[in-house]
Amino acid sequence: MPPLETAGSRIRDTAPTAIPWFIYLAAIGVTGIPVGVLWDISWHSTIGRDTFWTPAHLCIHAGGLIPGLTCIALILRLTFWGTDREKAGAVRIWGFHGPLGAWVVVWGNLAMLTSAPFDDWWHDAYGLDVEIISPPHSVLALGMFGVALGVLLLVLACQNNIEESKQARASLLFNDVAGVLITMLAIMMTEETFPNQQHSGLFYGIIASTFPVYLALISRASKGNWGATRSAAIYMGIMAGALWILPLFRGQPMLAPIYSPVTHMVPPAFPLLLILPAALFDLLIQRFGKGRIPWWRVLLLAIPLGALFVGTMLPAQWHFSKFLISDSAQNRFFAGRAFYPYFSRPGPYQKEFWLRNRSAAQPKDIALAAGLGIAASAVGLGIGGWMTRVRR
Amino acid sequence: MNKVRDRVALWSTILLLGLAWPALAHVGSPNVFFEGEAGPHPIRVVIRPPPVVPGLAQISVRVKNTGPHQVQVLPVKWDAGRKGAPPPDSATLVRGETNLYSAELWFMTTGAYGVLVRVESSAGKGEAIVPITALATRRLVMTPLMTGVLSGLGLLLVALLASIARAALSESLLEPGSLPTRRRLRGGRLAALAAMIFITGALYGGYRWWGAVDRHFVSNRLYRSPQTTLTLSERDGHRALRLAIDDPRWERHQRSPLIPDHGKLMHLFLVRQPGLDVFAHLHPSGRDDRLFDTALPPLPEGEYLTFADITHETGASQTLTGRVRIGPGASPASWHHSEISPDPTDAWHASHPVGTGAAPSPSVPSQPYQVRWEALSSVVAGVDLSLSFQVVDANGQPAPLELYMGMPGHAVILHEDSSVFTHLHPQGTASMASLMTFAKRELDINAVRRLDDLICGVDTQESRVHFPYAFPKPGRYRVWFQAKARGQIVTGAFEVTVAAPS
Ligand SMILES: [Cu+2]
Repeated sequence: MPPLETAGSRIRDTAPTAIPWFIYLAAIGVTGIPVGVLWDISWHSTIGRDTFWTPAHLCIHAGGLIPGLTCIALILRLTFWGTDREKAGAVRIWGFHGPLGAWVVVWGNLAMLTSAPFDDWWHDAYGLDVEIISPPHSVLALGMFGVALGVLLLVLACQNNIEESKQARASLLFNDVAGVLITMLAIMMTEETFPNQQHSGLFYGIIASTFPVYLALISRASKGNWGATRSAAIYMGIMAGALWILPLFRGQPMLAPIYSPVTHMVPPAFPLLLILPAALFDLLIQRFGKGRIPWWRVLLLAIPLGALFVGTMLPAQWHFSKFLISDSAQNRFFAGRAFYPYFSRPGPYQKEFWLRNRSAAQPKDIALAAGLGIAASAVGLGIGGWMTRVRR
Repeated sequence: MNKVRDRVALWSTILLLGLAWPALAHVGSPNVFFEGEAGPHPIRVVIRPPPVVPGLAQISVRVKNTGPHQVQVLPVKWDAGRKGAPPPDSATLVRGETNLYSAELWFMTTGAYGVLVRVESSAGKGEAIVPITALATRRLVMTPLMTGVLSGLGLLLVALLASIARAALSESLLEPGSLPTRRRLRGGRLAALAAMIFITGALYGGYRWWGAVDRHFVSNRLYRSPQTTLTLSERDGHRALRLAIDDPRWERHQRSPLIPDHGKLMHLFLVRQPGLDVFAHLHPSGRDDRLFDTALPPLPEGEYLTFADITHETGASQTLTGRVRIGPGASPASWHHSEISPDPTDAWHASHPVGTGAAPSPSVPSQPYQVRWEALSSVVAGVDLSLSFQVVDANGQPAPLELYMGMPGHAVILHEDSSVFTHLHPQGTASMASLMTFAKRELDINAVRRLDDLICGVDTQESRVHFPYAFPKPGRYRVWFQAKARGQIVTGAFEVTVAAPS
C-alpha cells in the first residue's frame, strides 16, 4: 500500500472535469426499471397472459442489468487494473475497490436475482399473483430500489467531486435519477393511491410518510436549485408518458374471465401532483437547508416542510381526485377511470370514493399525516445532509 | 395478518370478485373426464386442472373420427360467459398421434369454468362444453435445495449490505486518498450493526408476512372437502339419517344455491369401513340449505364413511365428506321411517370385504341380474381407460337396461384408504346438472338437444355401459356399478389393483 495521505493530497489538486460515460450509461439504463414496471402492470391489466420474455419484463431486466454490469465492470477494472490514485477514490469491500454507488447497484442486482427463483416458487405455491405487493415482489422491489439508489449515489459522488463549471449538469443528472426513484416509490404504492382512495385518511398518511423523504433529500443534496421540483417533474413526466403512450397501442385480454373488454393497453392512473409540494420544499431548503446545518435546525426545518406537504397535497388531491373520477376526466389527457384492468367489473364503485365503511379523512387523520410528514422530512433532510458529504 | 386480510378485502372491493365458496366434485381425483360429441365429432376430453389458481390447466382432446381436425379450446367462467372469454387457443396435434390434440388454458379465478371445445373438419363443426371447477388443491412445501439456494443468497445480501453500510458512513465520506479517523471507523461499524439489525428485522417481518399469506391460503383458498355431521334417529324401529353441513367455512362464504342433479338435490353414498363391503346410494331431501334428511335402509352395523355429491347453480359440483356409526338395527326388514319415506331410487348392496376376493370380479351376485366388468389387461395409474360394464340375467343374456336417474349407469370408485372418491357417468366425471347448466348457457339449442339425447337416449338394449376414467394413483380400489333393469336397481361391486406407472 502506498502512503495514502500523500497520494490523497495530490489527487485533490485536480477535480474531475467531465462526467464519465459509464455514469450516463447507468443513469439511462436504470430508467428501464420504472418504464418496464409500468409496462408490465399495463400488460397484466390488458393482456394478462405473460412469459419471461414479454417486452415489459425484458425492459425491467435491462434496467437492472445495464447499471449492474456497468458497475461490476467498474469494480473489476478498478480492482485489477486501477491506479493507486483511482483506488484511493473508491471504497474497499471484501478486497475489491469500487465507488459506493457501484456496490449498492451490485447489491440491488443480487436482490433482483434472488427474487427470481423465489417468485417462481411463489407462483407455483400460491398461484400467479394478481396483487403488486407480495413477499417475493418485495425482494424484487428492494433490488430495483437498490439499483436505482446505487446509480443515484454514483451520480451524487460525481456531482460532489466534479469541478464547479460542470456541477450544474451533474446536478441535473442527479435530479433525473432521483425522479426515477420517486416514480418507483409511486408505482409501489399504486394499490393505495388510486384516485378513488384519495379521500381517505390512510391515503394522506401513506403519501406523507414516504414522499417527503425523497423531496427533502433531493432538494438538500442537489448542487443546483429546484432539485426536488425537477425530480417531481421527471416523475410526473414518466407517468404521464405512460398514460398517454400506452393507450395508443391495441391490446386484447388473453385470459378469462374478462369483465371489462379493453381494446387498448390500459394506462396507469394520473400521477400525483407532487410538483406542488416539491417547489415549496425547494424554496425553503434553498433558503434554510443547504450546506452543513446543525441537527436542531434540521428538525426545525422539518416542521414547515411536513406541514406544507400535507397543506398542498390535501387540497390538491382532494379536488383533483374528485375531477379524475368524474365524467369530465374521461379523455385521452387525464384518462380518469381508464386504469381498470380487464378483470375488474364495471360498476358504480368506479365513480365513488372507497372509504370501506369509514368516513372521509378527518382532522385527526390530517394531523397524523402532518406529523408523519414532519418525521419523513426530517429523515429526508438527514439523509440529504449525509449525501452532500459523499465523496466516493 | 390483518394486512393480508385487508389487502384481500381491498382487492375484492376493487374487483368485486366476491369470495364464492369453492367447490370440487370428487375427492382426490381432480382430473376431469368427458365423453361426448362436438357436432359430428365424437370426442373424449381430459382436463388436468392446475393445483393452484391462477394456474395453467392441461387439456387433451381425442377426436374419434378421421381428421384432419381443427381443435380449439376456450375457458368460459360461469358468470362472465363467452363474452368474457379471450380468443380461443388452437390445440396442437400430439406428436405421433393422428387424432389427439393438446392445449393449455389459464384459470385466473377460483370457481366454475366451462372449457368450450370446438372441433372442425371436413365433416362439419361443432362444440361441446366441459365443466370444471378451478381451485387450489395443493400446498407446496419448499425443497431443501430451494431453501438452501435462497438462504445462501439471503446471507450474501445481508453480509454485503452490512459492508456497504460500513463503507457508507466511513470511507465514502472521505476525500479521495485520505484515511478514516478513529471516530469515522466507529461510525462505520455502528452503521454496519444498524444495517444488520434493520435487515434482520425486515427478514423477520417478511417471514411473518409469508406465514400470514400461507395461513390465509390454507384456511381460505386451499380446497378441502366440506365436513358434515351425520346423526341417526330412531322411532318405532324406523331409522332416519340427518346430514348437517356444519363446516364453518360453509357459513363464512357466500355460496350459490344448490340445483338438483339427476332430479336429486343430494346423492349420498355410504361405505362401511374398513372392508368397503357395504354400499348405499341414498337421496336425502333438503330441510333447509344445510340440513338433509333421509330414511336409513337396514344396513348392517358398523362405521361408515359418507360422501355427498351436490351441484351449485354456478355449475360447480362438490363432494362433502363425513362419517357415521350405525348401530344394530331393530327390524331390518322394514325401513320406512314414520315421517321420512325412502326415495324409490335409493339402493344398497353388500359384498365381501375388499382384498378377500379375486379382482376384478363381481362379489355377491345380485339376483336376478348380475353385473360383469370387462377385464382390463393391466391398470396403471394415470392411464386413460374405458371402464365397461354389462348387466346380464341369470342365463347370461344381456338384460334390457332402463335409465336409472337419467343415466344408463353410474359408477362409484373408492380407494382402499378412502383418499380417492369419484362418481362417474358415461359422460364422464361432471355431474349431469353441471353439464346441462353450462350447455344451456353457452351452446346453441341444437347442441343442448343433442347432449340431452346423448344422456337420456343411450341405446340401453345393448346392456353395456362405458365410463371414461384414469385412476389417479396406485393402490387397491373398490368400484361399484349401478344400473336399472326391468324396474330393479342392480348393483355390482368389484375391485381392482392399480399399478404405479413404470
Ligand atoms: Cu350418478
